[in-house]
Amino acid sequence: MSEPPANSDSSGLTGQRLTALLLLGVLLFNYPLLQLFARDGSVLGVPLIYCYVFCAWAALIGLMVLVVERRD
Amino acid sequence: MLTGGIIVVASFAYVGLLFAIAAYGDKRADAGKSLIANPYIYALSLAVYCTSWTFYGSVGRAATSGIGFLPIYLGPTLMAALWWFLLLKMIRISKANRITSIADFVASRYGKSQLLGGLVAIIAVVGIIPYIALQLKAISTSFSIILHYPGVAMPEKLDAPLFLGDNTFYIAMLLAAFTILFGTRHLDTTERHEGLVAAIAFESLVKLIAFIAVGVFVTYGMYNGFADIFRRAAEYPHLHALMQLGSQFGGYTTWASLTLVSMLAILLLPRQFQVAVVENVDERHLNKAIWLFPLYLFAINIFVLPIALGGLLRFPAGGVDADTFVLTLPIAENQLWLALLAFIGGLSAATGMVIVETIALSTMVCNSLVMPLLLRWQRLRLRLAERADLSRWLLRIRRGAIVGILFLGYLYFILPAKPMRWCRSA
Repeated sequence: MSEPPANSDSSGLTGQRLTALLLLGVLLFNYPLLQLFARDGSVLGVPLIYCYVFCAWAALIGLMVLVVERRD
Repeated sequence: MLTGGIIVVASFAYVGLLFAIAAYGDKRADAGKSLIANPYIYALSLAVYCTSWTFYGSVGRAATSGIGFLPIYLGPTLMAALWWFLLLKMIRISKANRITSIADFVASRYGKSQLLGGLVAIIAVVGIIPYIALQLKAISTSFSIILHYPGVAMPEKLDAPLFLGDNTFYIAMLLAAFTILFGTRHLDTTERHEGLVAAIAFESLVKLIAFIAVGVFVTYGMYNGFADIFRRAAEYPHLHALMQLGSQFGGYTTWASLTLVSMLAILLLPRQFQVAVVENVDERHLNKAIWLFPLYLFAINIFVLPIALGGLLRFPAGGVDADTFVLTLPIAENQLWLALLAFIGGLSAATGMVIVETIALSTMVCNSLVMPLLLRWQRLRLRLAERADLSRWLLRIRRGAIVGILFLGYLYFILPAKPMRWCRSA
């Protein structure tokens, strides 16, 4: 534990990026964006709204990986 | 019945395995070779968030509201982004001030107010006993369902035996024993329990594997993949409605408020505070947990909709509660081992929650309720305690609280369903 906590060096920037991701998530998972996909239709047989929510969720997690694991 | 024996043996063997893992984890901790000092175990232990309500209940909710079950998992995903500084700060404050429960934490933010700490503890206990009862109910229901294998039957609430004739009672008492053994082994100022965390992480793995196994079986064994299930379901108007945000969805306000509530829950629920803050070994583990934990939530939710729709298609006449599809679908398809795995998965989801919640509540009851009262009321008692070594007193109070909380949970579980019978047997 002698080395400093991993997020003390670039904490400012990483923290800001993660906060931005939170805001992006709030936007993606709410009205009115949800309403855009709340209609008939499917992607590869999966209903549009299911596909949208799960893809957006996966993308958000992917971005979190990128931001956190990034070592400048 | 042959299966009855298998099921009883399997469930008690599973709890036995938990004892073994926790004992091993404690042994490794004593030897200085921590089993849990890595971000993966930390993230898995955070997944104690997923209770039997997730394991069985998500499918039930999906069967009536489509994607209406998702805010409970989207909220924590969003909150995880703030862990970077929010949870980090909570961990640092708690370590610096030796804070060991959410009641302590809230009180310390307001000048170590004992009144506030006590109030939070009371609210937590009153609010969470029914939640513990719900887990016991899930164990009991899944137990009586799988006992009917290979038949699919809904449990009769009224003719189940109570207390000494009830398997759930034994499970509850075993959990109390487990929590006492690994949660109050010795009095430690940091209140960390490595063995217990190792067992909880194992439980998270079991429930994830079990749920995905059932999901894969339903999606690819009973049907030909996601597209096939959705195509067949779309032929029925009431199922088709689940694939849009129709009236069953509940509206955007419900959706947004559920998201907000679950964002707070992941931070403030006593069991989450216990695993995320109190049991945290190294704050650097937080970094990976920020995306590992949402990934876990994502993984355990992929098959919820296929199982829900698959179940509604398989049991078109109704009569089978959607909350039980995870278990009843394998049973209906004559998959004994898969059904057993699903049952064990549900058991792990329920027991994990009960164990961690009980240890968190007992710490709160002891430190924020009983001790302040003891110290305040009677100087005489205090002197007595000083003589008899205070730490032994603390452990006794905590053990009593554990048994008390689990017993109240059991009472809450049996009372509403069968008040008359309970009065007679009492």
